[in-house]
Amino acid sequence: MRGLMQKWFANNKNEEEPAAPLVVEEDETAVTVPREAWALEDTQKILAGRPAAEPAAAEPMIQVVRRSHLGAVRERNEDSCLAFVSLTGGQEPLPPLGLFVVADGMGGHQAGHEASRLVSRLVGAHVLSRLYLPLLQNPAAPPHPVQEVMVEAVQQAHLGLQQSDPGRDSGTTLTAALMVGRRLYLAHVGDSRAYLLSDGLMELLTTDHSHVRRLQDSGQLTDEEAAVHPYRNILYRAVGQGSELEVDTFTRSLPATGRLLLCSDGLWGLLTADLLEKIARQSGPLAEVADELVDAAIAAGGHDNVTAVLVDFAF
Amino acid sequence: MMAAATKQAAGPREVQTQLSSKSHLKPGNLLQERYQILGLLGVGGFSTVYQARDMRFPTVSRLCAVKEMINQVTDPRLREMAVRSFEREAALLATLDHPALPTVYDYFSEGERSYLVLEYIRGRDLEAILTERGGKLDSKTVLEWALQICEVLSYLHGHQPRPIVFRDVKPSNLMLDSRERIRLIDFGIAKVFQALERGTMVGTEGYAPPEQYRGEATPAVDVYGLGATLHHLLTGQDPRMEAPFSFAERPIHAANPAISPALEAIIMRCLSYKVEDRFRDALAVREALSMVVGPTTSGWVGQMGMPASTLVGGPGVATAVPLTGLVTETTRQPVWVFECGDEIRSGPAVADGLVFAGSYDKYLYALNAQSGQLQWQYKTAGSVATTPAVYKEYVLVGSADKHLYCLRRRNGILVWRLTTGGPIYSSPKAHLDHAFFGSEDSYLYAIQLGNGRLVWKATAHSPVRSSPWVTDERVFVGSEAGYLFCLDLTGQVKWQFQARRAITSSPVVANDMVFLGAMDGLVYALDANSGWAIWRFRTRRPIISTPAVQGETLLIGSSDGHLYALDALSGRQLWLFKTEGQVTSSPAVWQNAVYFGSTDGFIYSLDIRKGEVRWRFQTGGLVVSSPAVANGMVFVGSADKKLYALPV
Repeated sequence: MRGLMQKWFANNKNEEEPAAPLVVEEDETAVTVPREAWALEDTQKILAGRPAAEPAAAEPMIQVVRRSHLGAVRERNEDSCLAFVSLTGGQEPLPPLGLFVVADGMGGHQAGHEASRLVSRLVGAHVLSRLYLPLLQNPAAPPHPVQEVMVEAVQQAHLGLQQSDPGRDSGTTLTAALMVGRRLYLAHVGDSRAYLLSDGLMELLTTDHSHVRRLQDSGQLTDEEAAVHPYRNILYRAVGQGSELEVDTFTRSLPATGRLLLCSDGLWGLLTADLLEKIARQSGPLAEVADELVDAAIAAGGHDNVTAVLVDFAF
Repeated sequence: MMAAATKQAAGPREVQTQLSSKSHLKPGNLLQERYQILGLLGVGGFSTVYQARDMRFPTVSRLCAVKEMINQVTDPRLREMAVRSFEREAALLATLDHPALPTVYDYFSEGERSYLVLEYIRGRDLEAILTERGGKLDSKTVLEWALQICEVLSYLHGHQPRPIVFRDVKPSNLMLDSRERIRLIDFGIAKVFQALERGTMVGTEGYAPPEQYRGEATPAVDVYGLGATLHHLLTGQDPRMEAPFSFAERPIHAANPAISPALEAIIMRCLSYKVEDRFRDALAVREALSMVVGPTTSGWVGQMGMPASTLVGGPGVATAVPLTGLVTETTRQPVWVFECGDEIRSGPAVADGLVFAGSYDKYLYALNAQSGQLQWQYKTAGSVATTPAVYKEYVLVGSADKHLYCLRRRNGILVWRLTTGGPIYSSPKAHLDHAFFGSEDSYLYAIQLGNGRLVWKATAHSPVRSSPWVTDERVFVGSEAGYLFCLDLTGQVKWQFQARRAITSSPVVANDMVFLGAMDGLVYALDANSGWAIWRFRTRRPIISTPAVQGETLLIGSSDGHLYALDALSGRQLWLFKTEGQVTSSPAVWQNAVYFGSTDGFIYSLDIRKGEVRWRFQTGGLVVSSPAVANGMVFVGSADKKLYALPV
């Protein structure tokens, strides 16, 4: 390595030799500019003519509504959700920050509700203590790499669930979204989902870790067949199950305004994609949109718990 | 033995000279009490050929050629192996029976010398004939010879149990005997082909196909040598004097308008750069040639006494050659090669049909992208280790002589130059009519392009070798102290990020993320707005390579020898590809392929989805230069002082 670097950067052979263009004569009009002659007022020339920056919103806004409903059939709500928003004001505000989690517990002698509750809260605790508290205490300190923190959070929750529930096979899905300014980070296991609505588009950000999804992806099932497939609830990956857990991570920058939806399969599994989008897209108070989503799922049978976290943002 | 040991200290080159000049046999010397030396016929690299008389036939003068090879190997075990390998080969040659091959009469070893006694052939080699007849031959003569050459090569390629590859088909190894028949001479280097056997390069530059440089020898090697020979005979252009693998650019009809298009097409197919594009063996060439000649003139084949089955159907020469494994990894024939006075370590830039490349010979070169022809060159006072930036009518380049040069890209006339306080290893970037670059003097510079006036310079507190990334709003650049700075266009720092070691790699911004490699061996993804780290990926050695991002795939090299493909959104490894050197070259992406160099001397092209080799090309030196892709070609420099233009 050293040899290479020396060659790269220390090749000073014959550099004292004067410049003597062989083929090209120096243009008489060429100016050699002494490096001291610099003028800061010319700065504006760089800025002139470039497209105007997108106008920033007056105040960054993150607004959240969450619903977690038993559904029409189940006796216990095994879903859990968590929403945390931080907005600071005054001089040198911190970036607006939001943490949103949906978990859908399952199995383990009906300990599914404990699994989803424990995991969503362990994830919240880890992310906030590793990223948010240091930001409050010393905003100048470089934050930990965010996705590493997100994955650590899920892995620790995975171990935490296994330790609290030894010998039992309870597990949970987990979809966690962290918004820091205009960047979104996702950590995801299972078949809860995250959607982003902006500019007239509704985008699914997560991939279901279900066997049915795999069959669909490999072209062996149509969307219609998958929607009624008897094994559509079977996951091949869940927090708390198996020794090694692989966590999907994802990041993207967010548009200036938009809406984020996190939900359990009790919502998305009962509505057609078109109906889900039609309701989720509605303007009007966020709480009404959330209520309408839950009502629609129950109207469609409501045979599972229905959980939705709806976030409107403007930066 | 003692003499050899003494000479060893003098260095290999001298040893050879002494042996070949002082140790020749003298006329009258007798070998094995049988072969009387008459005189010297020729001296080759590792052998000497004498004319001798076989005294076993006292009443007639039976002449023979005695080929003497001196075993210069000093290690006793290797020496013994060399002798055995010689004897194995000689035995093989002695079993061959073909009128175009000289008969092997005898072979033996005496001390450090091994001898092959061959039929003495009266005549002249084709190289001598070519010179005699004014450097170019008519296609009728050449076609007739070609058929004869194919015939003897077919015999070798059809050898059982394994094909024999001659490996050195060229005019000087082909003789026209006293009866005007072609004879194939000098079997000194013939090797029995063995599947996947890789050895050292044998053959002759110019006549040897690319794969032979990798030690591969299939019958297709001889097909190429045959093509090169025919091309030479018809055009008079000696391939040893031309750019390697440049036959495609030198059509035969340009030099020899009388040639039929059909014959030319066959020869050019023999010269295909890729093995799978060539005829698979000499028999296939012969069949193609006989179509050109027509059935009447090819009747001579029967005169050679070959059974018809061997000639046409035969025992299946193709199946005897396990080509699978060779065709999956193909290589490329350069469209052109340009040689500079010193190493090329920076990447070229391409714009509007011109390639701009800097070299350690202090020059910036502007070449025609299609032909490689020099358009202009500009000499700076130091090594040029930066990639030029092309912007409007200018080309910008930094030099180790501390100057940033702005030249007119059309003619290389200097527009202005700016002096900094140190050598420049940071490649300039031009955007919004300004140039941005760093210097060893620890400053990042913003220069007005029209007049070369400094607009601002911002201190990085340590040398800046990283090249800036410039957007409409921001400038991103790394420093040797390990900082990544994000500045606005007025030079104010918006945020900074610290890696554990120097950031020599240049940042790349995509999807509002900044990607960079650092000397701490980590690949970092940062949020472009805040500088927050998103993910890190660990390689085992420092990273100098600048990443390339296509869609959601990030590609970057590491000096741990690998090229990595990562998912840009998660930092997850998609695949990695191992080279035999360090990958400090920055990958370039075009369509579904990635191109990069390694210090193992190769330029690689991989399928971006799977990381599988599309092709690789061996240069004569380290490849730290970063490729540029344009006009269906990849342009990349090497420490062998050459700039290569390869088909994508």
